[in-house]
Amino acid sequence: MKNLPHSVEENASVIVSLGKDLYSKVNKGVYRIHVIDMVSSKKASAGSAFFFRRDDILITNYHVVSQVVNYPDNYEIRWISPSGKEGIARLYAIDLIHDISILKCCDELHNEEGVFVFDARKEDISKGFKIFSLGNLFDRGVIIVDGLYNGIVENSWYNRFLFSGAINPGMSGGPAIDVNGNLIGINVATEGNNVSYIVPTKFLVELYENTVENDEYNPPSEGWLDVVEKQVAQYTHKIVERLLAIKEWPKTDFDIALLPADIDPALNVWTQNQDVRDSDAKQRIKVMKIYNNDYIFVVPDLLLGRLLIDYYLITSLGYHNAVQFYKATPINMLYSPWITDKHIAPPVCKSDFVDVNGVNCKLFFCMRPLREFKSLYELSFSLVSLDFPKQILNSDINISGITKEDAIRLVERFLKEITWKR
Amino acid sequence: MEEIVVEITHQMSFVEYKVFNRFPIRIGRAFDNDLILADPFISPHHLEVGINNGLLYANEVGNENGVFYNKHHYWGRFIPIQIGEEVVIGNTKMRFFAKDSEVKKTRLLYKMPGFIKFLSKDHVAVPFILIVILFISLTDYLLSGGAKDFPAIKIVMDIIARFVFASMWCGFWALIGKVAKHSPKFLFQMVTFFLIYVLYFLCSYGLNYIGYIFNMAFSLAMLQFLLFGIIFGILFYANLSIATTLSRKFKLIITSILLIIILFISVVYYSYSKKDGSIYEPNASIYPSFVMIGKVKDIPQFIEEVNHTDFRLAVKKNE
Repeated sequence: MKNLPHSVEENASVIVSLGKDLYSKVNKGVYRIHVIDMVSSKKASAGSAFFFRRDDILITNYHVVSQVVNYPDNYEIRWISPSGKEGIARLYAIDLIHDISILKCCDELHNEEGVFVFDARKEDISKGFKIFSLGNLFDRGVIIVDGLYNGIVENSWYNRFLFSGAINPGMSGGPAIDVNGNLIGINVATEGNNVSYIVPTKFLVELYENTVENDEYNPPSEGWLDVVEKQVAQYTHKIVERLLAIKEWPKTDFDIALLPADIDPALNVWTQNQDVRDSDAKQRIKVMKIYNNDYIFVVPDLLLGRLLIDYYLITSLGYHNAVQFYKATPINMLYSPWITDKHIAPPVCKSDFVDVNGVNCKLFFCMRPLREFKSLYELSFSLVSLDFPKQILNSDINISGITKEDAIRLVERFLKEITWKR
Repeated sequence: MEEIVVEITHQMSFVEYKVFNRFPIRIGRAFDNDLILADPFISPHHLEVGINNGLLYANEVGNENGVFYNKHHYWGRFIPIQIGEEVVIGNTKMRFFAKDSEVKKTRLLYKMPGFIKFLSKDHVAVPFILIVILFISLTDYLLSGGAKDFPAIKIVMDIIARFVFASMWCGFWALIGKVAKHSPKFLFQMVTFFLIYVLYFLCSYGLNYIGYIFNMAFSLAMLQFLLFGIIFGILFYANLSIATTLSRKFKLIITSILLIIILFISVVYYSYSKKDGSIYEPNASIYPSFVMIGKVKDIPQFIEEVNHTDFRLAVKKNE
């Protein structure tokens, strides 16, 4: 790295020339990616990709090429080089959890133009480290942006980097590099206001070594959907294992019961306490929501793996008796809004009256089977306490992309963790 | 062979008894009748009185004067007659008695309870029905937990709907009565209908309370249906008895067919709601299924059952 001069103006000019030098050095390694609808030959999505370790291996995000994974007969992947050459790329490997896909490409090209091949940076980096990100902004051309490395995202099961630069749509799949052009990660997502996320290179290296380098990889005989199913199931299985491994779930006082909260650092806890102020205000509702912000992108209308636990404590403020109160309290099941009906079947429920640690409850164990993935479901579990004449505790668990066995284990553990205060 | 004793009061004064064992008994002015009555207001062939399945009936043969029976004026065929009650034709009163016990038994079928007789008087029945409708609607309103889903217009619509429903029921029986030329009073029908409706209504809410208090769980909807079916069956059978002279066997068959149809519809409805693999609970108010009966399970039992549930059943059907 160059030694930086001291004055601000000189600093700025060095940074400008840094970007310029870097861009001209690496831009031949960053390609544009189009996913083409084979019927109309028009693009369905666009992103970026870069060469990694070999001049025939392109890396991009999984979500850029998700349509090819899910509908291989309808779409194909097309690469466009900086000089405007085009060709077809083939899907080689995917990592759904970290949003990485490896493409095999460019037999037609074969180093004609002299591509730049990225490799991983060996040394660790610390917060405040200057990094650059390249990508095909809005499919209008490859640009370079700069920003600072801000460490690994807390409260997440994903291990992504926070990046203060502006990653925008189309830049997904582009490389994030240091000043020398060493790869730090892959652009993946943005939340606007210069809050961007980068997938660390180590996951890419893992995937690359398991597939390309060891050459153990054969195209899956069952098709890509089975790979997706396996990876989603592994992810949710890991979450369940992680939660079950905790010896005793930390609890929060929730009026009539001690309920699990703050179970895992990746789970956010939010509470709310409100009276229903309608003309017939008769209830006070206390809410606690526990959820993680991570989900697995499969296709745009199928996001899986998000865990949500809800507690509703409804207190009667004016009903004459329990029957009235219970009747006027609608209890709805919690279903994911991130899955459209195209991908999921209606729920099948098992409900019964169950003694949960000394209190009679009604339990609803509902599962919506995912149509494409034979072993995966969306779990929607609900518990309603029945023994308190003036109060109802309604608790829901929702997680999608889970196997039946894991769902049952999670619910069983959850039920064991509820402690009543009477 | 049954024997019928007829008490004849000629010109409202002179009483005579005659025994008949051949049926039907033909009554009229002409000489070829079994019972010849010298009354200018009686037709030559006025009436036939017969026994059908142990029930006494009067059958008008060819007259334009009609019959007064039980203070009501009838024209028609197969008018049921109660043992010991007055039948008036022209200026002659008749009462029929049975020597045979089998005939006596049939009296009971026709006897109305005193309070229903009282209620079916016009000046009692009209306010009674109105009070019942109001009672049902208001109780429903109060028990439903307040005005949240119950705007005033809904109560009004409820009252109208109940009234229309009751009228349809009564109109149906009026029609049956017209066909049978023997129509029990419209208001009487209204009163019996609402008495039974109130009973049903109290039962269904009563069940909820009982279930809640004694911690019982069962399919309340099915029980309510069963209760309604039984009550409806009784009501239907009773009305068949009042309005027609069909044989008991026939009435039972018709009532059973009706109940089977109701059961069939409800089963179809119930299974239809399960068709897509969902049960009725997930998105409905949970309340109806809060009522518990029997043994409450423990967690391992529940988990075991969940384990054995095929959550992919609905998808498999389509595949």
